[in-house]
Amino acid sequence: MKIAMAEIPMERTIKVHFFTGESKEVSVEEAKKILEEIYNDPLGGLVADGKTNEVIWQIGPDVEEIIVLEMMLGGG
Amino acid sequence: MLTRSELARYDRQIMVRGFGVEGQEKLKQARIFIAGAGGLGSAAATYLMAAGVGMIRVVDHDMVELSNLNRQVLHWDEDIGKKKVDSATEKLKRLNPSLKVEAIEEMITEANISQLVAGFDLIVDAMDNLPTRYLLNKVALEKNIPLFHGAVYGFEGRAMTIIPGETACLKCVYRGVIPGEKFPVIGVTPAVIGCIQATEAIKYIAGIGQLLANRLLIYDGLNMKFTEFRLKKDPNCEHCGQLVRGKK
Repeated sequence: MKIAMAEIPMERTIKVHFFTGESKEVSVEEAKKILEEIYNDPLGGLVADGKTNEVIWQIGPDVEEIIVLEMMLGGG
Repeated sequence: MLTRSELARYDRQIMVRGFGVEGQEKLKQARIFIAGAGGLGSAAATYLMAAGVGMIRVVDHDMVELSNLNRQVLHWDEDIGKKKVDSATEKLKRLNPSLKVEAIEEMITEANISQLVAGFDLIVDAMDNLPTRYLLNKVALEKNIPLFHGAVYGFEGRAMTIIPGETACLKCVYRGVIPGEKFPVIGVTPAVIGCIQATEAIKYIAGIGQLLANRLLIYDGLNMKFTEFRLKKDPNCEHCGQLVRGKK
């Protein structure tokens, strides 16, 4: 006898790593908000796909984790 | 044509496979513009001069201060109060007297940048502020001059090489403007990054190896890690978005 298992849809989450070392897991919507904030921040910054290390401007369907890089300007 | 003395002086790098006499001759013909005689500029200029780059122009408008000396190794205790460009060129000339070093004590502005970089083969971005870095980026794209970018903060540093029309530019990567501020830095960090910039410049001139093109290299000295991020040109970039690849 086969027992039918009800499939409970799992909400997709994104792992967010900050280059400073901190990490957290957030919803896709929240990850999109983080990305948007980084790119709209007048101080700037970058977001990269955590698996490919490619800099991204949007959270595509394959993105599972992101890395947030802050702006850097020092040199003198 | 290299002289007998030059062949002896650069013997160890002429021995490097793929570099050879031809690479050395290319370095001798090269003209490099270094924006900034601080931490990054000290390291980059020292190694480019030692490597035999024919002509270097250093531009900076600051004076040497005591707090510079933990990282700006071209400036020594006795130089405090001197113009940085004078202090830097004096050491560079002593390091390799047969080469040409030019010091320009000026603030790089939108009005003078085009004239300052005219005739140079490449630009080393050794600045400490983003507005001037953006000016360098823009002029490099306009004049089709490769730009070798470096930045530091604390134990961390970054480097990337911008080939106009081919790679992501600085403005593809950074958009904002950080207000000028005093930033923390361990003295060796700009030395590591400045040497990476110099390495990239030497490779570009010699036409060997793989450049940090479309790659942002991040150095984390605290954990001793190098991480690389892949970059893409931003088609909407306000500096290079419309740029069509062109050869010099």
